[in-house]
Amino acid sequence: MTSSAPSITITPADSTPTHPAPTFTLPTPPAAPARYKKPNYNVVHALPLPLTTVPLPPLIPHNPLSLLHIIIAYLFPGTTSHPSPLHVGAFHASTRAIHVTDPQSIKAFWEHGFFGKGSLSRSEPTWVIRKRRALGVIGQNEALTSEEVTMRRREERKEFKRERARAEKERREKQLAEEGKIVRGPDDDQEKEQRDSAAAASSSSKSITFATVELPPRRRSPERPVVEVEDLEHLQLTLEESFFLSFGLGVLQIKDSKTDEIIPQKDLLSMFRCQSYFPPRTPDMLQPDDPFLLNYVVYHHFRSLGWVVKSGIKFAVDYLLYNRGPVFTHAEFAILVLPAYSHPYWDHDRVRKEEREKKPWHWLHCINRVSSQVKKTLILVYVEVPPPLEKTGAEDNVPKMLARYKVREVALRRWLVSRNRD
Amino acid sequence: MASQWGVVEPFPIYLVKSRYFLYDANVVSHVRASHRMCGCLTGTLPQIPQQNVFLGLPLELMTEEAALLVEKGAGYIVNDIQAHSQGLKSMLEADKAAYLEAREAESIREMQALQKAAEERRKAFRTPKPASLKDNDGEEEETGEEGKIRDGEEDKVGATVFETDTAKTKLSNAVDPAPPSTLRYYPVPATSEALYHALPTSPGLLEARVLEPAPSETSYPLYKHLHEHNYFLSPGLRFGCQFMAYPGDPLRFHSHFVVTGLGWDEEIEMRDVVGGGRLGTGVKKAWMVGGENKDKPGEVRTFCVEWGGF
Repeated sequence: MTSSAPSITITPADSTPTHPAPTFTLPTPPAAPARYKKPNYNVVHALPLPLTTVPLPPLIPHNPLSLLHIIIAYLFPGTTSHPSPLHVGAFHASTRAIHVTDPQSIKAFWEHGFFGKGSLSRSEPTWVIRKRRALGVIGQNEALTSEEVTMRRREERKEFKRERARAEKERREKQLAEEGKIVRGPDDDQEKEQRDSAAAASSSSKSITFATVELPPRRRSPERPVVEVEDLEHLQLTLEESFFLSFGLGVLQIKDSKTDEIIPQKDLLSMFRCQSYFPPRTPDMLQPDDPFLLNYVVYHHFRSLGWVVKSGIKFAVDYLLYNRGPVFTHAEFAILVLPAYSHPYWDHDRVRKEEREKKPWHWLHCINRVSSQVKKTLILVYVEVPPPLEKTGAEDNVPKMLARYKVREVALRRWLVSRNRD
Repeated sequence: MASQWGVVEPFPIYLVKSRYFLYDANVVSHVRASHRMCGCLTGTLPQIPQQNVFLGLPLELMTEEAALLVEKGAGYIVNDIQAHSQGLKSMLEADKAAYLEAREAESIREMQALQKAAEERRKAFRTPKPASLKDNDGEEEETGEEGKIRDGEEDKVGATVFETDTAKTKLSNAVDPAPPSTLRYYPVPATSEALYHALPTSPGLLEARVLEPAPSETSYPLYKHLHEHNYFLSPGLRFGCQFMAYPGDPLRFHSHFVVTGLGWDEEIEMRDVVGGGRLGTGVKKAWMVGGENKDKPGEVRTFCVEWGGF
């Protein structure tokens, strides 16, 4: 079947070379989507963590003064790696999260390490930008947020599919008419014309309503309203993220949202462990396989290997691993945290051995299918749970306690005998 | 009570290594038509086991299917290995001799048929086809010499074949009435059913009404519930669920639900709800979970989850 018929309206894009897909001629052709220029993410997200490091001056062997430089720079560093004062977040038991409201801290946490999530946004806190665009304070294509980019892409795809279906139908009808399978009388032609004109009218009226909603012309006039939109959004950090920022990096102080007092570092771990249950447990009921501990061990493990770790709840896994960050690439790996009770201490614990450790096969197939649908490699991370500590108070030594956990990784892929045969 | 396939209920369901099988094609058709159970064809050819696209008998039943058939009284479980050895042991000497004789007779009959076929082939090859030659006459005159050359070659080939054949038959006649070129093989019955006939009343076999392995407590009530509502259920392991629910025969319909059974008070992780929702919606089906009320046996509640993706 050839596409030489004039009614088949697939034509190359109207002389815009940047347009990726062929468009169709329409009564009201859609404006070619203006490609929005992204900010230079390599510059914005240059630091992998919210810490500033300054390299020591170079050592020049034949210049003894350079050694002096190094000593001075080492003993009296000009800048500290940590921000001063430290970032502050407030712990809310109701959302089981740390809320960060200071714009400077939000910026630091998001741009340097992609910590947290905007409370009113998909990921980066961008609610204020979208609100300002809706009110006409900024233009339609200024500083597009990731949510808006996604929405536009979906619209474009929907439109493309609609047009493709229409062209397909037209071609089919024409072919049938040529083959004499549909008899098209003069009445039919008239009817068709009427239908066409009606469709054109409806589509054009549709596009007008779109235009009034999407491009309010009076908003874009010179007297742009100067409305200051108050930013009502805050950054939410998960318990694992905030413990990493507080214990691992030491850049975050956490205060209680009720009493407004800073929670001392040594109380944080047991508090987070209690909060990881629902309803929260008391400290004397804590176990070595608390959900928080298992998750934090895995979170810390991958963060210290340089991965950007984000929550994977939307893909039915525990974590997603990004190579440099979500703005650069898609996540490559999906992490599933599984407890392993291989220590002899757990041998007689039936509940743990048989209920928590064993999962049905169909469950694994379900998770694996979902993650291969989104082209991620599933990694099962087994955390070897140590026996409980005998000495009371030994839990205060957090690094020592965390060192008792071991992590094993198993990559999983769908492998079909008949498809993978050479 | 015999169905249109000549199946009398209860029919045997064979248990081999904790799997349930049906060997008889008639029983398979009967189960599909009257009990809405499709099972899974599992048999391959021993010569080409890599070929796993088209499978044949035996049909493997899910544990739930076997349990429901037994519950309805439509089938009974036969422990195949046990019954086989029992049947062999309890065979009388006369039966054994009769069986061996029958086997021998069958083998000889097969061999003779083969021999006869070979003889016929040879005969057809040796004698020139007069009918076809006459037909070709007109052409031959035109082609002239070429046709003659062809004839000559044919004669030669025929002569050599004839010579070797006679030599062989002479040799074989000296040793055995059967020529060694024909393979002698004994037909092996596809099932061992002929060796013994286990009646459902025979002791020891009917005890297997208590299923071992039994279906899981979470999935069986849901299976039964959906089956009662005229759904066809097929195993869904490779789709990430326990069953696929079809509104009619799977050959005619796409499945509507991917089904997972749960306990009444079982805790589900949020992550797994998301996974189920995405799994179903990704293939344009609905993810269904359900379970039986512990306090009211027989009451099954089901829920469907869809991935909205706002």
